[in-house]
Amino acid sequence: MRPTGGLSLAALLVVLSVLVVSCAPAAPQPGTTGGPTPAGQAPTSAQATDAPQRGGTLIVAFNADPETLDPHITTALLATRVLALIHDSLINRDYDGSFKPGLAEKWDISPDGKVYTFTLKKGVKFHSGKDFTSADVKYTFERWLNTEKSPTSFAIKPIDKIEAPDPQTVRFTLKEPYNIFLDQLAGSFAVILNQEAVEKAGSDYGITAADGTGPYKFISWTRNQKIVLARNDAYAWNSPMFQNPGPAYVDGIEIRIIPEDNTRLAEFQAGNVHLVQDVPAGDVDRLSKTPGVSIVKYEQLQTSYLGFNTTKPPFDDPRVRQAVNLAINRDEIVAGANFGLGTPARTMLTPNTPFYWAGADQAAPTFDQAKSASLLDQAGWTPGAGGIREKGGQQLVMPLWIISPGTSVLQAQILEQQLARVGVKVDTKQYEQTAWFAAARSGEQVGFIVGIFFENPDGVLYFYFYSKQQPAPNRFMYAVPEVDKWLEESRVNPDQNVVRQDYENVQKRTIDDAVTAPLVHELGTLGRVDAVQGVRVHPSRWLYRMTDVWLKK
Amino acid sequence: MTQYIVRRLLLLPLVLFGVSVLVFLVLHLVPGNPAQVIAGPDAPPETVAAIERELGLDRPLPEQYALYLNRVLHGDLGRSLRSRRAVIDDVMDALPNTLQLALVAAVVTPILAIPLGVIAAARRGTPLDSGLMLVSMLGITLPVFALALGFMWVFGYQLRLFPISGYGGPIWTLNGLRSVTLPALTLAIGSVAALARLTRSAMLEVLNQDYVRTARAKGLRENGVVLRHGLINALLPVITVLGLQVAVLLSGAFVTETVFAWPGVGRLAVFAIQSRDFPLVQGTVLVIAVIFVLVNLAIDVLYAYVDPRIHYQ
Repeated sequence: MRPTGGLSLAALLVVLSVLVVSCAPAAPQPGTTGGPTPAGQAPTSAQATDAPQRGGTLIVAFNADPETLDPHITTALLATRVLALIHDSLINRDYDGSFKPGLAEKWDISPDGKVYTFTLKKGVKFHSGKDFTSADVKYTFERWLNTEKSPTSFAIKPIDKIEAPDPQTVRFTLKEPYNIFLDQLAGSFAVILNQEAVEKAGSDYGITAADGTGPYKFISWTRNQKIVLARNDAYAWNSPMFQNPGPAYVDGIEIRIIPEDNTRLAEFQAGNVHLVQDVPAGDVDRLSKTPGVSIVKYEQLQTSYLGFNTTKPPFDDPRVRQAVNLAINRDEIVAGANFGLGTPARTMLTPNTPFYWAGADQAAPTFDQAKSASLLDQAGWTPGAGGIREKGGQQLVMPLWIISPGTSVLQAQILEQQLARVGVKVDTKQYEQTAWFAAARSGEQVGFIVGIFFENPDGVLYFYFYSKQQPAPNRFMYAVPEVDKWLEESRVNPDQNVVRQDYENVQKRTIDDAVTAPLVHELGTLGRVDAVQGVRVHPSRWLYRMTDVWLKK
Repeated sequence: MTQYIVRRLLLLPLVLFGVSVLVFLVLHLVPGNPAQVIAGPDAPPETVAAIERELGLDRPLPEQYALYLNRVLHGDLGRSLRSRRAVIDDVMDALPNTLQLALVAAVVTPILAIPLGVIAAARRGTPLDSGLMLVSMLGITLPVFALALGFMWVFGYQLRLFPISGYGGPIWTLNGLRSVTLPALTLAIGSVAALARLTRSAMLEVLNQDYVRTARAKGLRENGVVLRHGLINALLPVITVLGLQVAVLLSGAFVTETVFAWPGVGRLAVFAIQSRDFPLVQGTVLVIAVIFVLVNLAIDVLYAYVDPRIHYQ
């Protein structure tokens, strides 16, 4: 599953709680206080010199219950974070975005890109004691495909058949080549289930029972209170992407569910919880100065942007969209709305995303009020009463729909001022998050601010700009046959060079068309008390399997 | 009396029917489709449609309601759309926690409020009276979340007397009692303040009566006058309001439970509404309605015992 889709709830949670997330500055300083940790950076040297100690229960605070641990019926970000602790996947996505062995020790892709053969590790057992075999893999993916109510099964729709010729081999045959198939197999929801456990629990699977091969066993879940996990002592098949090859260092993990931000931070400051996810941007400075705790700021693949409905006048005119882009001073937004926790975004993909187009930096608009004004002049919008531009008696007004509460409230306030300077009036309307997502697929949206998470270019370009993704997530109503053709080809052409060219074409075209005005790549924040060591945040998987984390006594 | 109680109980299903229709309509008027929420905001329309079909959300509203009602009449509140857990399990897990919290708050309220009101009335016009009334005004006007954070900061973080948040166990255990203290106090403060003011004014009214003057004239000690002749006679309005407060306490302390991460019915309802979990909202609201009706009935019955002049037909 592509986290973008799956993580949209996550995105919401993040936006909702004024959390701020993002990507690194030009020259990150690993390990220095206050500096963001670049994606994939190893634990800081101070931590590395200490030998990991065993023992202790790690207490983690979540802001909501993860709904269910059945990976095939949820889209909740928090569920994926727990699933990653209990389960393994066939393959894993490394910190740098490459694929590393998981339950599969190696894999082979046929030249036509349609047959994927995986060789599975031997000696792997589920928590219940049952041996893991290819039958479980076949069962898991067939269950996912056949779950009609699954919100995520479209991610693996190209699968034609799954065979398990022997216990250590599993073979997927696709209806057509699908270049992001490995991405999907490494995805948050593609964890391997135990057929026996799933069938035994029936509709209670993921609620009262969960069984996997992962580093932590599911012990109990008291609804709206806590989830208790214990170390899997037999765990000897950890992915080489992690440092600790064996069982986890801590005895177990207790996830406490504390919905209110202030309460969660008070518990953290008091040292009652070891790790707290998504510290609100406004609290980061204060907590960074609090003795005994620190805030890890990390890069993630994330972009907050202003999107346009490209069919709604006057924003059906690319010049008007470009003018808005040019009128935005992103440094002001990062400083004023994100409390400095992020980098100005000029492109939808972060520069460290695979297939990022090197020419994007040149092509993307920079802050230039004069050029913005002249474009609006060209488009026929002339200065009118109160400094607002007019054309044919119409004022140049941009309705802007935002999610409240969230960072976009502050972002919108700054945008109002910046766009007023070039004669564009912004009419901001705040929505509760669920209502926003309902409204923003109505087709009536004009301008809107939202944040997205992704793992690869497909998760942004195909997902948001392909014409058949209307009315959502293609809320731009963007439909360009050429772009569609490139996007389709990027998924099925086995030639990486062609794919690269396709992705570059799409990036260039969407920048030229000014479909969006990217605003900020937000930094992620994680609160950690000093005793917690070995913390390394993944750009899209948070703490992943948490096998390297340990508690200093 | 028995007849009255039976009549009131027979009305209960009617009340519940009204409540369920109202909640059903409101839920369907609020923007945000549960299938969309489940699928995630970026899911393709086919996925949303498949989930709608599976949940029966694609059918006409009256039909959806009829199906729901039929299930409820057969004792099935359905499953949560999000967790797929039986709604009855979710509600029954949360209910004891809310009851414990409300119980402690309901016990604390009169214990604090009545003495404060009596003292203020007995010392009418003194700085003590003014001080108490000022504090009670603060208690009424302070937003619950501000009070909660204040308590948390002082007693949980600085003094470390009580846990900052969470459920520590049943209230008859030490950990449980400690964990319930701050949320129960937060919950009780508003009621305490309101009730203290009411007690004071009721007391003042009674203390101006002729029989009180008579009691003083025959040489009773002031404490005896205030308590035996004053308080007993001032209690009726106090009980009325206390009853209403208890009903409110029991029907879910939405803010208090959320702020203190207290796993009760109020927090469950907030979560259900946020996630557009229709069956879960329906289930929690029905349970809250039942409690509200029953508590009100109990209060009405209690009147008749406190004041023999009251009769029900």
